Amino acid sequence: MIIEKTFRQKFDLAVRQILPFVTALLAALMMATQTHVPRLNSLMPSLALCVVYFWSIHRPSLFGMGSAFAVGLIQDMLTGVPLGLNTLVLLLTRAGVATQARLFLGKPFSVHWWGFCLIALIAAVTSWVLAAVALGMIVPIGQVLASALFSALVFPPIFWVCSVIERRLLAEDP
Amino acid sequence: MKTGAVTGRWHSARLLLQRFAFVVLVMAAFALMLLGKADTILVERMRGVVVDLMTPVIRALSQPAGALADVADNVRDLANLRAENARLREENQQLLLWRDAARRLEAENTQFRSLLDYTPPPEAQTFAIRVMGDTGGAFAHSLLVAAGSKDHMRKGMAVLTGEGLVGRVAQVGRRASRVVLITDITSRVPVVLENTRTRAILAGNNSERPRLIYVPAGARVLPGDRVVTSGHAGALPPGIPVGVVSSVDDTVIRVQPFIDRDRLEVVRVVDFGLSGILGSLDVETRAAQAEAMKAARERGRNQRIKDSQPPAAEGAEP
Repeated sequence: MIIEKTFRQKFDLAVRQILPFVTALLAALMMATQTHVPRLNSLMPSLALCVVYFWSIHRPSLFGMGSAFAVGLIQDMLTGVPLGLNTLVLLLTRAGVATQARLFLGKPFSVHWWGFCLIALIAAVTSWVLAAVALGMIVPIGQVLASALFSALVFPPIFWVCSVIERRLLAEDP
Repeated sequence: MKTGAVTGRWHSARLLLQRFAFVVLVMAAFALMLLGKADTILVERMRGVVVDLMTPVIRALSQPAGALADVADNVRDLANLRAENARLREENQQLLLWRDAARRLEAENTQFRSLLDYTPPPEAQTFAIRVMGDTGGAFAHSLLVAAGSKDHMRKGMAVLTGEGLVGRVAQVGRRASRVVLITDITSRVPVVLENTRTRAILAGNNSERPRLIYVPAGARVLPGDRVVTSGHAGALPPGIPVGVVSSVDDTVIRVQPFIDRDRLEVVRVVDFGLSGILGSLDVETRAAQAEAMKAARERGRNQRIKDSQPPAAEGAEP
C-alpha cells in the first residue's frame, strides 16, 4: 500500500516536471498540422514561442534551457527550415525572458502581452537574419513580420490555456 | 551557519552550471547550423527519424481541423449545390467534346507511332498518399505525407495532383516523408511556357506566387501563359502543368501555381524512373556516377593519346 502511494507520488512528480515541455512540444507539432484555412499555413503563428515565453516567466525551473533547445530542434527537423534556426531562437527566448521574469510576475495580462509582442518581433527579425545566413537567400520579411503579428494575436488564448494548466496541475511546485 | 554556507555554495554552483549550459547550448545550436550545411546525409537521416516519430501525433492533432474543414466544405457545397450542378452540366458537355477529340487523336497517334516504329517510354508508377501535415511558416513550404521508404518512396520523386505539380519528395522516413512545395525558397523547377516554348526556371520564394528566372532576353511573356515542366535536368518529365503567368513587370515575372495548397488532402507520388539531378541522388549512385565519369575520362585520354601517335607504316614492325 505504501509502495503504491510512493509510486503515485513519483509519477505525479514526473508528470508535473515534464508538463511544460509537453505543452511546448504539442504547440510546435500543432504548427505542422493542416489548418485548411486559406493562407494560414504560410503565415503560421509561432505557437511554440508563446508557450516557451509563458513557462520562462512562470515556471523556469520546470522548463529549462535544455527543454527549449529540444523543442526548437524537433521543430527544425520537422519543418525543414535550416537546422538550428528555431533551436537558437527558442533558446535565446528562454534565457532572455527568464532573466526578466520579475518584470512580468504579478503584473496584469496587458504587460505580458506587450512583452510578448516585443519578444515576437525580436524573434522574427533574429530568425530572418539566421535564415538569410543559413540559406544564402533573403526570405520576404513581410511574411516573417506577418507571422509575428499572428503570433501576438494568438497569444491571449495560449496564455489562458497555459495559465489553466499551471493553476490546475502545477498548483504546488514539486 | 554551516548549512547556510553549503546552500550558498550549492546555489552558486548551480548558477554557474546554468550559465555554462547556456553557452554550451548556444554553441551547439550554431554547430547544428554548420552541420546542416556540411553533412546533409546525416541531417537528412535525423530529419527522417523525427518525421517518423512525430507524424502520428501530427495526424492526431490534425483530426479536429480536418473535421471542421469538412463541415465547412459541406455547408458551402450545400449552399452552392444548384450553381455547381449547372456548372458541372456545362463542363460535362465540353468534356464530351474533348473526349471525342482525344479518341480521334489517340487513334491517329497510334497509327503514326506504328509508322515510325516508335518505342514509348516506360509507364510511370503512381500511388496516392494522404497529406498529414503542412509544416508551414515563413521559412519553409513543405508537406508531410503518410508514406515512407517501406512504401517505396524515394527522394526526388515528383508529387502531383490532378491540377498540376505540387513539389518533390525531399526527405524519406520509414513511414512518412516530407515534400518540398514548388513555392519553397529552395525549389527550382526547369519549366517552359507552353505556347512560346520559352525556357525558364521556376524559383520558389516562400510566397504564394513563385517567380520565373533565367528567362531569355527578348522573350515574350504575357499574363495567362501556361507554364509546364520542361523536362530538362532529368528531374521531371516534360509537360506537367505547373501554373499560369499571373503578372509581368520589368523585373519580376510571377506564376500562380495550379495547386491549392490549403485544400491538398491526397496527392499522387509518381516515379517516372528518372535519375534526377545530382543533388537528389543517394551516396551509392553518386559514387557509381563518379566512377563512370572517371572511366569515361580515362577512355577519352587514352583515345587522345592513341590519336596523337603517328600511324604505323604498313608492314612495319610493331
